[in-house]
Amino acid sequence: MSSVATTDTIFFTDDVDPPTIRAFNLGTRLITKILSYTMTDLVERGISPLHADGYNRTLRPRSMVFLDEGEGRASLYWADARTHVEKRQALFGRSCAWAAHGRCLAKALWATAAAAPSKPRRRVQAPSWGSGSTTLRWMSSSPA
Amino acid sequence: MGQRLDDTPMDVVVSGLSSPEALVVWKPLSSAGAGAGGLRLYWSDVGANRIDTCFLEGTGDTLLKCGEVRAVRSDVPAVTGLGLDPGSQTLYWADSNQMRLQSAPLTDPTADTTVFEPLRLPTAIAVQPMEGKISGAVFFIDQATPATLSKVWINGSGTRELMGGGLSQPRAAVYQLGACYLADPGTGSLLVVEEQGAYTSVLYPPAEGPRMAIRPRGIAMRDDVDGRPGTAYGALDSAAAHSHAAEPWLLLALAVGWLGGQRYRYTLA
Repeated sequence: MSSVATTDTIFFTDDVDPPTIRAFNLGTRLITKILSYTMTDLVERGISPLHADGYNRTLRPRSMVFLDEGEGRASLYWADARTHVEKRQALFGRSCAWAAHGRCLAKALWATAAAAPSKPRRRVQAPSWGSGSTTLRWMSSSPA
Repeated sequence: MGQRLDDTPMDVVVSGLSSPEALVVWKPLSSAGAGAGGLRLYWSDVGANRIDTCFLEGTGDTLLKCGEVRAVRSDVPAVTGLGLDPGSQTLYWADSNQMRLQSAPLTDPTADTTVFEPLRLPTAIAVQPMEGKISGAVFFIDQATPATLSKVWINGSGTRELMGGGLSQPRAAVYQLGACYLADPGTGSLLVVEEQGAYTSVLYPPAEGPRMAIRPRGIAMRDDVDGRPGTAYGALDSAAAHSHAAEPWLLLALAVGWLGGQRYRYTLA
């Protein structure tokens, strides 16, 4: 189990294998792993592992946003382009076709303790500076 | 699987897209006015030449997911950066095909305006919202060699290069509390640049000590501390006071830069 302060934190998609979502705390300068995912995870959610042309898809996490939903809930949304490696290399060409196929946006929702009251938790205090700092918690046993 | 967040697993919000690249969220301000609507996502789909949007739907007890996906623009082939100014309800995007930075009101996305050109190879933008009479700005990363971070004031009064060295392949930017934060997967680093370029700092990896290899491609931060848009005061209070508390010269540089920047921004506004 781990927790993270939503203030003074940079969340980022880590384009590694498997793709990973991490949090970097500006105060402690520590990176924490939030989650990672594989193609299997997405197949279980109805995403085909193959492109329309038969190529295997590759996970490529891209842009990310943080959404404070209020009432102690916050979410991260991110885009996963899941491009071919060979086509991804064309991504930066001026006249590239941006050829790619079925993509998805994935979301991880963080909720307050009320969402899972039966789980034991360890609170990590948000940094003391600033006002209104909140701490959201999630279930994750893996360090960065 | 194996990863759950308070018993709520990661989930797919919308599928069937071609190649989503840039992503922003729209959260209406209380003063945003009519048509603000609810929570929305906007994203660019470079495989379909579109900017799309959807309302986030759900009860709040479950994952919020996309409702009907609607095309905002269907004639933009290579949008690599997206940004929103909730105050002016304006959408900004970097077009790496037309090599320019454009904007359009959310109420009429077809009424686009060129904010800045030419760009060489834009990869990301971040919007500093307008604050009263103070002009907002758009930070943009230009990936051409050498990669740069620049800033253009939204009122068209000027541009400034904030960082012209030390970047390899910067891919993401986010503005918060008087600073622009960058992700550079080329160097595996996270950086911060004061909004006037008064200082830059590598946040990660540390100069010494243990480190891990990262390839950050997208970054996100909570956009405020107490429900209000970030302020320059917050930059002094937040970024300097604790991120660089051990570097008093940096605090001084930040303060001087901020004061100078305020004068500059007022002049431009």
